Amino acid sequence: MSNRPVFIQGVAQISIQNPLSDEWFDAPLRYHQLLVPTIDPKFSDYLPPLVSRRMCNLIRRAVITSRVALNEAHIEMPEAIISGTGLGCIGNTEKFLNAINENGEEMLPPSYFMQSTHNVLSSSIAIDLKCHCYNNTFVHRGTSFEQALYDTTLILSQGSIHNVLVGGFDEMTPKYFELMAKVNYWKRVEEGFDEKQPCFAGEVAASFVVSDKETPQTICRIEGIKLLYRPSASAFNEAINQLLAENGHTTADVELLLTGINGNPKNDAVYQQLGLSLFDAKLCHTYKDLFGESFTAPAMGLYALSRCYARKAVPSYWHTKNTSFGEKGKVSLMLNHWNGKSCSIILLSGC
Amino acid sequence: MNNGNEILVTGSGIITALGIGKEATWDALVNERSGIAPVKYLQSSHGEFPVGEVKLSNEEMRALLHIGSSTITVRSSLLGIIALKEALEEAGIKPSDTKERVALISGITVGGMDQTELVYQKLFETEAYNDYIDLNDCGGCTEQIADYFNGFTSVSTIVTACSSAANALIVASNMLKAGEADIVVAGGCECLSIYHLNGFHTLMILDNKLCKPFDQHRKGINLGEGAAYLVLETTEHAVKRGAVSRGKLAGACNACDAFHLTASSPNGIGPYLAMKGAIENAGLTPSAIDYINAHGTGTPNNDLTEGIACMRLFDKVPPIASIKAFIGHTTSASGAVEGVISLLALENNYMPVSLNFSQQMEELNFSPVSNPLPKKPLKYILSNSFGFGGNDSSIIFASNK
Repeated sequence: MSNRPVFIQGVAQISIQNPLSDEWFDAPLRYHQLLVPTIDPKFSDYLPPLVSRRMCNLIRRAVITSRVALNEAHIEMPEAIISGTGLGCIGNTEKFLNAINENGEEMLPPSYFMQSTHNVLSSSIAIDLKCHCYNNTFVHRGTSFEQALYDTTLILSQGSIHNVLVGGFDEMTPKYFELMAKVNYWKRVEEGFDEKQPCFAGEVAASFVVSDKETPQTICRIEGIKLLYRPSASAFNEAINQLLAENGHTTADVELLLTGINGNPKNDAVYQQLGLSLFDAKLCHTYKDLFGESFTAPAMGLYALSRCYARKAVPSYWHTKNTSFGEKGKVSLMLNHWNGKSCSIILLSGC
Repeated sequence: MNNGNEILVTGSGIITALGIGKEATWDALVNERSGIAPVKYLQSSHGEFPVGEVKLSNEEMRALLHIGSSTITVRSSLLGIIALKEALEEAGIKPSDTKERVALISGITVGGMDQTELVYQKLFETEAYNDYIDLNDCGGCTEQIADYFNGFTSVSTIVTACSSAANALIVASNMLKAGEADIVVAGGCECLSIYHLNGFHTLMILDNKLCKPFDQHRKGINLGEGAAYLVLETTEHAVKRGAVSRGKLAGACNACDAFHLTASSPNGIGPYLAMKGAIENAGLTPSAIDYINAHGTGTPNNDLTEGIACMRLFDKVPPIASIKAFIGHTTSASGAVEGVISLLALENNYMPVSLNFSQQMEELNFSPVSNPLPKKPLKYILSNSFGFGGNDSSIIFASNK
């Protein structure tokens, strides 16, 4: 039996746009720099100092967005916690690695190591909530978040778990930025920001509460999600059509297409092969120009789209002709790939 | 229970300090020959800690796999490819030659750190090491394994520290039950790294002698390395393609201790919930469990809380042993490595013993297995994998009988 639709009940973000708010919708911050750090909320508004002191910033963000999303969903205790992260707390990993390089293998600080395993995010959320339920972490490059979301739909389809707290979390350090620039994910610092190829690195913390039933809190419906690996163009397009058909739709029902186009020609060209040819270019919009590129950037895309469904509107700068959004019968698609290898397709609709 | 929807294991592969493949592994286990030895391949200055290294250099593994010298590889991928190859061959599956949906789910935490830590400064200084960058993260390592074989229709990576591979098996089972794939190959791989050897050392949980799981005087872990993968499919699918069942994944549960990032709770709530949930998920009662393949790392903390959780769950704790004194703690790979060994135990009706045990822990009312011959035929084995972060998972393997 195949996966059933699931429902997004609460969302929250801390990113390079103003935190825990929708300000990006009407008044987005626009960046012209290569590495943009998170705008953090005042942590002390959410976390007691003793608790906060033991956490690095990425863990703080994960814990806070989790709490805010649960609050919006009117759920105190989730029945599962799942995270996607491309690098985990890479800042701590670098600190521990640097300590080994500088001091040799003696007198090393345990705290950086303890907070460097990627599952420290899901487990810190569990410790914060005292949640003993299913707890999992996916770490797979640019589809880390979608793999977490896929696992969410899988365990909801089993029938014994009814709501899941799922998030995408990544920070970006100057050092790791430099390494990824060397292999052309974005321009190098010495090249500077290029308006013609405006890809830039951001940071991500986005949490979602996803349930198996529609309630008054429901923001939108995830009709289905597909993960693919190294698909041919025809296999990818066939997967889109199949996902639509499985849920009783055709390409004509698609009112919005959100892609991971980021201004890097190497990345963007792949979308011409994967999916774009099926749709009118006017339907196609981007989110990485708002939130930056990151392994878990698609979490920000899903967050943005969820807020559009909540508002029944899309931002004016997406220039759609439609005056309404999320009407019955209409659907949105999110397409993503990383190096043309790991790919994802998410089908959403309004409630 | 719907028999057509049971999850069967139709192939498996393994590499550990005991050797390449199931035959070598089992031979060492029944002859009580440990693979733990002084460090040979890892370039660490901590020679005082014995380890369960795979007794092959990267070059030797590359030669075995016909990987040319121009291709950059990380050690975990090499281990993973060797184990995956055995699993696919036994199952008679070639992902590149089938139209079926064959998914790969791999657990790992170290990723490409074993190489990154050796060339870290050079990564920034020259362009010569750029190929290491996309292999540094865990997903990059899994993709290297997938790309050796080609044809996997989806490829995922799970990182929950020492329960990573166990969780890969759980997600695989859920995928099959949801009809999301025809075959899922799941498991994990992990090589030793200077990074995590030192990390474990800073937590003061390594033993500088041979580890002694469940012994009153246990001092800590011997780290190990290895990889293992299981080919999973439903009974219906296996029957349709004429695949031979090697055993069943009868139930599983993932729970969270939610206590501390690296220590387990005094009452062992996470391990208790994981074991209890797995038994319920399999539709069994605790008395049905014939043997427990314990997480049993040999740290004072783990063995105490795992033991307490067992005493709480079972009226009489069944025969229980940790094989970590044979292979070391293979961390992210352990759930699959010990899963393959659990399946071998079922097939051979033989309970691998806990080596190096001499004195029962004063807090516990049981000792680990010293007699490998079961009183009645083994039908159900409970296998535990508990990770940092309180990520605790238990899996029940069942014999075909």
